[in-house]
Amino acid sequence: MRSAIIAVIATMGVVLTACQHNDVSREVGARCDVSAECDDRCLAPSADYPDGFCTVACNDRSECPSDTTCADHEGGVCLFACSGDPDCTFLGAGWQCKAADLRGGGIKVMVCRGS
Amino acid sequence: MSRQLIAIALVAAGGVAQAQPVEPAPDAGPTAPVPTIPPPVPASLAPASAPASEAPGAPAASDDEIGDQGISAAIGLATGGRVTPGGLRIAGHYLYQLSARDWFDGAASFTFGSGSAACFRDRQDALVCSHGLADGSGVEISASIRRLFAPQGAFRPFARVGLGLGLVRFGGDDVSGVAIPLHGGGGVRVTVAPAIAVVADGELALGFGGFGHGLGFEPQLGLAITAGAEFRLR
Repeated sequence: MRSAIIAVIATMGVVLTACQHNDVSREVGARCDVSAECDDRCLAPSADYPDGFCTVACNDRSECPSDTTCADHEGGVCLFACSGDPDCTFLGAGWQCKAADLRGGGIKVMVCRGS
Repeated sequence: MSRQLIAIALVAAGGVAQAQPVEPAPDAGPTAPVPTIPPPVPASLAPASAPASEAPGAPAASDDEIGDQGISAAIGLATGGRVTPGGLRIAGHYLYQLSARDWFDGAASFTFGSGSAACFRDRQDALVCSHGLADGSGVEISASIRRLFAPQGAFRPFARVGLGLGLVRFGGDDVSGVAIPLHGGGGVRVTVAPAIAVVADGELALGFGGFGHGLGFEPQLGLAITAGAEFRLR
């Protein structure tokens, strides 16, 4: 009986976790037009951010969620790190892997941005 | 008459009410103890005092503690996620005895969770909601069958299955919907005074809901644990 209860709870956990997986989130990556659609701020749709891009302000790489880094754009925002254009295709058409200044680091990093 | 109406509604909804064997007709052969439902009142829905409806081993004496009708109030926690609300759970139940061990359990429950926003548009412009375990709010009415089992010392375990209809809202995202969950669970009750019992209950809700803002139909999956007091009406 106890093992059955544990199995049910474990199954529920797996289902909930699996159902909530997504490449993007309100924090970083979701489409947006206004900041109310994001946890922090919205980079409005433009050539640099096609379809809009939810992100969080940052001053250092450590302030960004995993898979993102702090690019010195728009006063410092977290953008997805990449090593080539295919890494940015999940963001949709018009996104490419480009070099950008690392905020607070003095080096270049590769991030996904609009073409 | 009301007992019949409730029985018809529950059977139509796929309830667990079951026919009980009755005495064979005088002209029936020796091998004809086929279970039948004698009109006009199904034996399975007859009052507990009817000897023909007693299931083997059913502790009839303990049934008297529960009574023919009862009400209860309970409070606890519900966990949701995605578009299933979770948070503080407050519920009220109305119990109506259907047979020796089965009660109709009509409930109204309220869930109060946080109103934080958790929906966003993914890169394909589809709305996705990833609410936490204790987000959103909801109100639901449900009809269940509660079956009580033999006492285990002072505890009287029971199981419950039923169907609900609820309204769900996530205020931070201005997302609302209608949910139809199946409920399954169980618990224990302990009589603490004449006509009063303490009840602890856990249940799993699984179903679907229809939502606006392009969300469409989404699965509903929740778990709730509550405790409360049950009062015998008569």
